Amino acid sequence: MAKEIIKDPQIFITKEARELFDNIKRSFTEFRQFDNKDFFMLAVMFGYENGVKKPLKPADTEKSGFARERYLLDTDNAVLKAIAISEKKDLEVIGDIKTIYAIAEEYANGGIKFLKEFVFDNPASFVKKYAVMLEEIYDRKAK
Amino acid sequence: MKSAFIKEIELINYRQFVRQIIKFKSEKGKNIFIIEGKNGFGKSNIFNAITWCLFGIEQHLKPDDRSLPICNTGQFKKIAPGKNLDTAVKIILETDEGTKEIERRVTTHKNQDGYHFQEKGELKVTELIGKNWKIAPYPEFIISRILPKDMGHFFFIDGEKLRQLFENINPDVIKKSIFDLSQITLLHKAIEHLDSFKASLRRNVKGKEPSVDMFEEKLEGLEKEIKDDKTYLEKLKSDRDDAYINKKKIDEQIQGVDDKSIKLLEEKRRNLEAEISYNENTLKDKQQEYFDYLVKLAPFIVTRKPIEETVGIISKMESAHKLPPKIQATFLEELLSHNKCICGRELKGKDGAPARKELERLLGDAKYSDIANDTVTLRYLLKASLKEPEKFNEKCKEFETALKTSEDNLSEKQKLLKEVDTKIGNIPVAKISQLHEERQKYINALQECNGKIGRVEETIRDNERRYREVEILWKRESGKKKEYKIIGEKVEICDKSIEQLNIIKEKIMSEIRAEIELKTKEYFTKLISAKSFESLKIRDDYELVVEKDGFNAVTSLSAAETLCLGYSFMSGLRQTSGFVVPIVIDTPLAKIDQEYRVNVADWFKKVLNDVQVILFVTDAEYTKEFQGEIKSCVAEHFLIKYDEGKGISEVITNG
Repeated sequence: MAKEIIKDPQIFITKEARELFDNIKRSFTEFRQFDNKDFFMLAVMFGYENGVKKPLKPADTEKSGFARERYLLDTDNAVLKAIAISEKKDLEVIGDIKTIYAIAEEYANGGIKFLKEFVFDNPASFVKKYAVMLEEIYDRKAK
Repeated sequence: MKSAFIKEIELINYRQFVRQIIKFKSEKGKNIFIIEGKNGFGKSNIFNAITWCLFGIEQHLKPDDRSLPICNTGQFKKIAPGKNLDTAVKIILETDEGTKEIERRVTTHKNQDGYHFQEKGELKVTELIGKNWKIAPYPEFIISRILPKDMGHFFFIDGEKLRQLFENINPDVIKKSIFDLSQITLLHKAIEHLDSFKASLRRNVKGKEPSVDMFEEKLEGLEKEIKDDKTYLEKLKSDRDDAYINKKKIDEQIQGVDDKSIKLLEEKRRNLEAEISYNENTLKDKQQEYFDYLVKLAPFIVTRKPIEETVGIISKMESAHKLPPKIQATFLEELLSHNKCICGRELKGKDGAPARKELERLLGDAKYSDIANDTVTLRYLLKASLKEPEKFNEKCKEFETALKTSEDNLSEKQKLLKEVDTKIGNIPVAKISQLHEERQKYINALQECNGKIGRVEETIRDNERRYREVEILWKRESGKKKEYKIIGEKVEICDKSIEQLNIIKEKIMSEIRAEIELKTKEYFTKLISAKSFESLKIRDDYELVVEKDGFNAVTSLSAAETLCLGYSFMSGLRQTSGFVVPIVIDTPLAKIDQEYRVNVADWFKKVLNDVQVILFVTDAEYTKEFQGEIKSCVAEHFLIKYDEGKGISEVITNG
């Protein structure tokens, strides 16, 4: 099967998500060292955990991307591929970067609402709450 | 133009000088010039004359002189009412772009009732071009090329003030110095300009669309609130610094009391305060480390199920020998398209059908050949990522324990401090009780300021966040109207430009911070060789940290060590700036013990050997030991004589 080769693949998010990330970065010192790809991965996690996917509108992908494949860590890419394989129930999707990112983008888009609530509802203690949340997920999923 | 040498300074009716010319002769290997005089003889005013001539400010004017006119008061008394007296300071500079004479002049007018009135000063720069002197059209520009005004304080230093500054060094001072040095004013101005341009763009829509106006009004209101809060914040910070300095002075007075037990208690208190401040920062660092760990681990925890599923799929295919495929799909596709097998058998017609069928089956199995390598890497990475959170609970507990220990440690130290405070407060010595009471007053003021600073900063952050949110709503609302779309787009461009400029600004400052940190550390280690400090850092938030025995020792350094730290930082800034202009230091050895004077002298010789150094010293500072140390580098030694009867000072060459 011929695959579309994409040069320097990009990741897109909505304008609202961009603004939210900007807002979080400016408002919380904990996020000072965050790159765009870190925000993206965080949003994907919130979307995935809550099982919410929200497709992007065509206008969202018209402008330049929010992050690029080359900025992602190998482990980030591996996780995004695993999500896509699990969704499509087909290993072949591993070579289809466009689909992999499209799925991740939808989760990120779905996740920003939860991320926003989580950070701004617990401004003083979101680190501890984040730890509690992850410990709970870990205990549940490791079983 | 980055290098300069002061050849001559001329003072005319300036402060206690009537007419004075000081000539500095350059001599190879001898770059230090000493101007020695007792307190009140006019050392600081020669220093002030230099900064006044170059930048129009008398950088270190003494409180007594502030109320006096800049002109020589003795000469002023002599002139008749209605007459004028000219005051001037001239500096002749040798630069790598030729000789320049800089002259600042001001006229003081005497009213009929004898009062003075000072006219606006005038600056003139004359350049020697060939054999002729020519007046430069833009004198301020010429000076800024020799040394920008903002950077003046890195080169013209008051030892005593520097020591005081570093006793209470706060991140704002470090940040401002690095900001000045980075010369990113242009970037900063561009950001400010874009911000105001954005506001003016928005105002174009004002009054035309009520729904947009509503947001514009909110934005204007927030803008004003943020501006007012920032001004208030500056005032609070200045009040906090004053309270800190006053508290420190009282600590010194208590420490100076002739009683060993009181001295010990005071020292204990000082150390505890330093440890508390360090512990507070360590706690912040630990919290950040914990958060970074959680962020790193989150994907492996949250997506555990798809990771396991994917690893399972790959393993299953490997067991079924589908991965890696025995034959590459491209090869099979080629055989099928050519209708001929590698063994020569035809793949078409009735005879070739079975072989074709077999190849097609093999092609089905080989559909993963393109991704075979990817799957190997993917399985490896995913398996590793499944292992990452294995010790997650344990690690979280470790972090939480460490945080708890830090918190407990901090509260334990706070408790101890309270006890020491009470002990000092209960000392039955009237002077101590009075000082303790005053100290408490400043501590309360400090706490009040810190509390208010925190709240105001929070309000500013909050309002800035609201501002950005309202701005988004403004953009959305104005974007609904076709005629305002273009304005919205322009606002968007401004936002993007601001974002990029901020990234560049942060990057430059961060690089310069790292460079200065390295140099400060290098010089400080040289200067205080007798003591061992674990490390010196300028943190991301611009806090200067000198680690000693596990805590930040900045506020508990001795007076001499503090001054050495100040010199090290200033030298780091100077070196990083790349400007090789004269260094002028007033009271360079203030409160420096004999132990360190040799190091400071050595530092003058080794670190400042590429530049003219003018030192204004008292006879008490310029001891025989110090003279002996720097003798080989001293080009000239001047003395300031003061005629008390006439109130006039004069500079003469010593010997």
